[in-house]
Amino acid sequence: MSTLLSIKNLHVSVDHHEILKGFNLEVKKGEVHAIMGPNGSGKSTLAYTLAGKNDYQVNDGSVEFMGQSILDLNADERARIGIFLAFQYPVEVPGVNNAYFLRAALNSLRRSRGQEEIDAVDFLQLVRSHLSELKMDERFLNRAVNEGFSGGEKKRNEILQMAILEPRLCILDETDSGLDIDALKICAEGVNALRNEERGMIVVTHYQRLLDYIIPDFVHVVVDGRIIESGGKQLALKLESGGYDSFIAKAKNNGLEVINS
Amino acid sequence: MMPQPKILFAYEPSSLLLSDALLVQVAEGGLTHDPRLNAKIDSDGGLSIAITETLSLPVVVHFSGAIVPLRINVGKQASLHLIEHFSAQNSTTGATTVNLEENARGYFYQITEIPEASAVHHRRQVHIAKDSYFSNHCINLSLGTFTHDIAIELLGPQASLDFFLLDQLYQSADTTTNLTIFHRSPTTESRQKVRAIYADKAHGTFLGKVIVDEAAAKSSAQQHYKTLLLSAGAKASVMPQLEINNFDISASHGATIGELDVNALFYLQSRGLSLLEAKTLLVAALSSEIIESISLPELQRIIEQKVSRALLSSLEDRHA
Repeated sequence: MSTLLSIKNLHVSVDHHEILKGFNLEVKKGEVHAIMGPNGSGKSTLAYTLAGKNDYQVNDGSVEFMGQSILDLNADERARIGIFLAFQYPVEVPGVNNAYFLRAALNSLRRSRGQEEIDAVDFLQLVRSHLSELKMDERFLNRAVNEGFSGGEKKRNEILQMAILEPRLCILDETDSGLDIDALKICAEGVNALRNEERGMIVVTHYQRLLDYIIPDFVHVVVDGRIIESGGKQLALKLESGGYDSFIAKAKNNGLEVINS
Repeated sequence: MMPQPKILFAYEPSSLLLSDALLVQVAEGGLTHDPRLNAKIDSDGGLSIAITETLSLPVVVHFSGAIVPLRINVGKQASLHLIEHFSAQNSTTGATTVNLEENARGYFYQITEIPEASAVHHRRQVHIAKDSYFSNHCINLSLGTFTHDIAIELLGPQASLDFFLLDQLYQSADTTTNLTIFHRSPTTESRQKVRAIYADKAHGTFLGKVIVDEAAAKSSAQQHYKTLLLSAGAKASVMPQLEINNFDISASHGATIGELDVNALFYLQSRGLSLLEAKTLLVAALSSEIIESISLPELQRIIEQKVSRALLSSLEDRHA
């Protein structure tokens, strides 16, 4: 399988505070990587950095997506080459109609791929098929983006966008937070439906329960801004039973500074 | 002797391109009138219109030069949609007086497009009788200087008002709106929604004052203002004021002035929209809060186009 994403020695600061301190990760096409770690370890920083948020300062290292460095690309340029971040806290955008926004986003991607823009009828047909998969009411389309949505509705809306925009790399930042078990299953089914040999996924989570539904190929434990242990799904089960303490202790023994445990 | 304005009434496309409207073009000349408008020239050269029935077509008054005093009476149980269009080339002043009799309905739309280097000072007085409803949309797309003094009196019980203002100003536009709403009777209602977008070196001032009289028990007043500054050179002053003389009322007010939400911009960009597209979408969302409340679909579409054109042109200039 060819490499989709290659992160080498990534150092990232936010407000002059270094969060990622030499992060390395390689994701091949078709792989699902789970990133787990305690609060403040840098999981969300990784997600935002990959998506291109402005206030995340890359101080060192490299990030290549399909062989191309993305560090000089804006967030929209990264989206157009196929990087998608499902937000932990999807942003409410008052006054912007969900359907209008989705279609505008899809057409922006289609234009960049040299495809014709999708017309309203075909778009509605496309959206409807995904709405039913995610058990979402069609009225979602006429509401403002995420405004007044419950936590579960927001997360399902993220998965809906992901399904419609068909990215090459999906980054799910704590998609399970704030979800009850039924909503979690629906979101996981939506994500699983998108798994294929061409697409890679990074699933950021605190808890093993999401990984019962989205089975990862690899699990990585992040402490103090870098991966300190990698393994298969069994690693997540080990974390679930023993917590992060042993990993944090190991990190401290290796001379890492663990601020927020 | 002062030249009398010529008043043309015609079922023809108006200056605002409404396909079906009664056009009132105020210019020098004689007078022709549609009997349903009961129009006449007053001794001071002003134009009076008295509506006694529900008109199915909106009336368009277009002021392209001197703005003569406009006096409108909407009779008992009558209803009127009226569009005032100001695009004066020179400095001028004007005044509109509106009187709504009992159980009348008035839907007024004021579209202001004062060109650069021109200045208009306009005064508006509105009297709303018992059980009447008045809705006022002020859409201001001026590049010049516009001062607007508005006084609205809710005179009888159950008199109700919705006031909407959309200021979308660019370049060196300068607008001041002084709005005062008087609640004179019990159970009167007023709602204000103001959305302002200022770019370049535009400057906008909005003073919104609500005075609730002692006699106006169980009335309600809402003020909701949002202002967006798109550039460092743009300035806004927004002052909501409430003067309450009877405490058996409900009142609320909120005012915000800010820049585009960076988190919302990032969210939209993370889905593939360019920075320009994301900004356009967010600004248009703010103006749509006013445009969507316009009850004439054709006028809504025209205003939407005017607002979008001006916005896109301004944002493109800044991104060029």
